[in-house]
Amino acid sequence: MSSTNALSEIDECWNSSSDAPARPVALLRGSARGLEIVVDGRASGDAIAVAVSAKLGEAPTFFRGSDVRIRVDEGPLPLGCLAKLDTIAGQFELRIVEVGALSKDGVPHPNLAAGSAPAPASKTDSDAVEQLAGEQDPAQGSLPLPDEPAPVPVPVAESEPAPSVKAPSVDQLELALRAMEPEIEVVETPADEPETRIVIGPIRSGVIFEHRGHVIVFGDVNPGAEIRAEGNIVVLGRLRGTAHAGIGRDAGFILALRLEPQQLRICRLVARASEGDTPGSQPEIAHVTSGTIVVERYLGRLPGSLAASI
Amino acid sequence: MGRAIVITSGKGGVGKTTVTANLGTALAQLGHSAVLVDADIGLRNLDVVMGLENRIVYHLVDAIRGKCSVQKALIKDRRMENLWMLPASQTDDKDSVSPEEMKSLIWELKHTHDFVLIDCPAGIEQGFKNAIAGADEAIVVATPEVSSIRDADRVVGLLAASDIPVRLIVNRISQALVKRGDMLSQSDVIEILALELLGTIPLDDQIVATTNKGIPAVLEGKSLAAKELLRIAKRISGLEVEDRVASGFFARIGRALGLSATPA
Repeated sequence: MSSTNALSEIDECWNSSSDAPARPVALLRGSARGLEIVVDGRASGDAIAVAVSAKLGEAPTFFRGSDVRIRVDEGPLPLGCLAKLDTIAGQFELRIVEVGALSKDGVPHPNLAAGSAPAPASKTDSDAVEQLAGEQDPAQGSLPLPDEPAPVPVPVAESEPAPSVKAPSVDQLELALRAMEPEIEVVETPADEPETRIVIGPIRSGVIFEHRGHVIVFGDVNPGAEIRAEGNIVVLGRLRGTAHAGIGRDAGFILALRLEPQQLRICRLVARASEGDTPGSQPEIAHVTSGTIVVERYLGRLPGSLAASI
Repeated sequence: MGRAIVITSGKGGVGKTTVTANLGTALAQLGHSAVLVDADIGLRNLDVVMGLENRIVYHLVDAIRGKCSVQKALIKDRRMENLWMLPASQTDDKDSVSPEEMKSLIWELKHTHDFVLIDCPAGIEQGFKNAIAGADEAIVVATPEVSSIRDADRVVGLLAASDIPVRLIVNRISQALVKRGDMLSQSDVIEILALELLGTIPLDDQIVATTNKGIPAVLEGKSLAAKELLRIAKRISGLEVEDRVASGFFARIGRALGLSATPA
């Protein structure tokens, strides 16, 4: 099985290299899901907090407003660490939305924070034993997650000596991590982000216009025409046809000077005007709130959460 | 070198053949030599509307296949000096000719006539592609109905993709119905189609009568529709035409009181 091979790769990394620099306690990286902070669960809570703070401090305003996911390698997080990370996140105006294991079988296991049981069947016995035998320090004060059961201490198997900690180089570790995590790729933004396409209308009936990024139409979109975009759609004219924004993504919006569509589609939702609706004479914007498409007047600013989704 | 104009619509039954027959006759009345080509192979109607059906010996497919020369297939109208017609075949279908063959046929006709008007069949398939193949310009005929406008919009898109300039004729408009709100207005049509307007032909019983008799309405020339068709022909031929809106003092009073029949 691939995970077993990957594990042995990590073990080799650990055992083979000699004068490697210390493994970073915290790493920032981008993934398909957004910003991630990879922390080494074997370090102390203070060390992790300091490392994360330092990493974020390198570009204090860059991540402001982002959602961030904590990925714990060789978790769980030490007791009390999550509270510290919460504070740090607050300082940098981030929001921690998920804490999970840097899982070796490719499946994220959320809610792996201090005090919770480790993910089953993904670690060797010696590793699991090591973690649980580690910091059970109630004096540190933790952020108890109410649903998590209290950890069950397991006696250390005395015959197993601790493996000699010869930390691999960062590159080796990264390579090993990538071998284990095929689905998380480091995104090289923004060079390969698709551009915004500008279209001169009118878009006639029967025309389907598709684009991977955002679309701006100067003119009308006639009934029977379709705009499909992975990004957002802005029609500086009358939108009378069908528009589908946010294809393959979680969010998107459709804005038009006159919104009179046959159908609106955002991500996987579909909407049409109800029978009694009269088309407004003001610019309107359609976006998703609480699982439905809502249309509101566009007053010169994007509704709050939308700005982040671009 | 003459101008080849295709008259098309997408939707069937909106007045392409009637407009082709009358515009051709009106252009001949204005002194130009005109040939009308019926591109509706298999469902020919232009000969009926022109009243020339009994005189068909050869047709368009014969000419393209080389069975006869193009000149031999042309039928000269007995009422007008400069008017000819090339009928379609009633027994073949639209796949019998290719766009290239149509293009060379039209090109040949452009040498000998000032205007080549091509009556396009309904639809957007091979018949449409054949009809637009040799055209320099297009006229889209649309009635003030949603279905007609939708189809016309599609056709305009296809014509634009072939780099053929398009202008619009709105056909069968009734000012009374428009005022009552029961019919789309001329501006509604233009709002969606966004084309230069050549003219607006009113709904007219005379057209029904004359079409069935095989006499183009402009020959008699008194009905409102005939007058508008003549006006459109003048515009096509490059003459300056006065606006339909009367501009005299009494006309303005009439408009202020809501009495005149100006387009909405």
